[in-house]
Amino acid sequence: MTRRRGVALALALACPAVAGAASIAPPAAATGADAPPAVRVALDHARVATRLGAGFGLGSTITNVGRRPLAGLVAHLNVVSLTNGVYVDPEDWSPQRTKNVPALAPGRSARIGWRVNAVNGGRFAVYVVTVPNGSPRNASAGLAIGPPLGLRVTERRVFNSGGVVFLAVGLPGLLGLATIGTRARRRRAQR
Amino acid sequence: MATVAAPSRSTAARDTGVVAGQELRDLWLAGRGLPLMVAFSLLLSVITYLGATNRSLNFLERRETVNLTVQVAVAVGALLAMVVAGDAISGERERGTLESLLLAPVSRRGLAAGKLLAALSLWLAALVVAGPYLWFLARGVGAFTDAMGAAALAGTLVAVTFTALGIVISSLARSNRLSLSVSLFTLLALYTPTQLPAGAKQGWAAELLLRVNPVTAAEHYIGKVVINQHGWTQDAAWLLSPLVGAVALTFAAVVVAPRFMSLRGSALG
Repeated sequence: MTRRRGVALALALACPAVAGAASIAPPAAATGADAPPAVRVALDHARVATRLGAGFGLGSTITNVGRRPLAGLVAHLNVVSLTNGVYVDPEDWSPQRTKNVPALAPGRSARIGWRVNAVNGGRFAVYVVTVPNGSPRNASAGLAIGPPLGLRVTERRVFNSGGVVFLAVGLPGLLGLATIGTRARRRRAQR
Repeated sequence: MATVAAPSRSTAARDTGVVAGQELRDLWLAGRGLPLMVAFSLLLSVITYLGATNRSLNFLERRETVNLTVQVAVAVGALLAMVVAGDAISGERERGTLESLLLAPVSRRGLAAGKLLAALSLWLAALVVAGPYLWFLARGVGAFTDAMGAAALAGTLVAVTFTALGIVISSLARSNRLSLSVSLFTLLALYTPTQLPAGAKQGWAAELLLRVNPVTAAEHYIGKVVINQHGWTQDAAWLLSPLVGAVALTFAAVVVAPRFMSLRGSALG
């Protein structure tokens, strides 16, 4: 070990705050006091049950509950699987998951609509979070998370899914009948 | 080598029509056309059933299932057309019927072109048979038009390429077995790169290989249209090698190969 490295290690052991200060910044909430966020997020629905492949609209209401006007908020939709083993790729679930929130005067609300497509079966939580974009005009907003929407997506596993058996058996059957008919007709003509 | 007088265009077209008509009757009313289509539809039935009932498929992966079905339809449809084309001349030679064909009042170009068209009818039939399966799989994700259009465009170029290649090989091969073996080997060799892992398809050399090979180029085009929902013209450059293959091999089959059409075969074997 070189002398410089040894000194650095000794400093790090003696004073962890100094060692981590270069790479870890304190969380934003700590700098903005511990005041509750000045934004409230609400969803139109608490529960939705749908089937695999179906889409539905979801409305969220973002309200400025603080005393100052807010601008530059970004709303983000996220999907989390509550079913063990079901992988969620949120990009598949909604074509646009990030939207800008218009400027909000104190006490005013904005409605942000989302389109959600059920692309996996199982139980999921869908929620909306607003994030300040770092502008001084929304420093008091903080991170606001809405209540989760409970989503149940059913998938049915049936033998004849969508009538596939009729197609899978019917078309070869029709072609087989056409083959037999053509051959029989030809045999009759040859006699 | 027999000399071939260049027929006028109208004579060649008439000869082509006469030969194609007779070959189509033989293929579809008395031959292997319908049984081959039964086997083809059974294969698509299995794929469609597995795709429709597979619970582990993500909803968005339905487009990939549609793409898989298109790829299988193109590969097997082209294979069927090529097998019939590979038998077209060498089969007549082996059955002892080529002599009477060559003595018939039709030009050799007309003979080759007529047999090429008849063999291609198998691809067209395969495309029609694949239609209901693609509709079934694609109806939920709105991919039917993409799938049928990509299959009709890229698949037809691949089918023409292989069918014309089959005619060329069949004209040259001394035995039917040799003709079919060479045809199938060529088809499998060209399909092999489609099985390469994604990592092996990176880099300029790999992309060049994929672009030059008509099969991989057509497969790439179909995938972009069906899975990635690209427009018809966005990846049109990938259709260059299938187009060049189709035009060059059709020229070889209809203009060059008839010059080597003889009772014993010439170059191969």
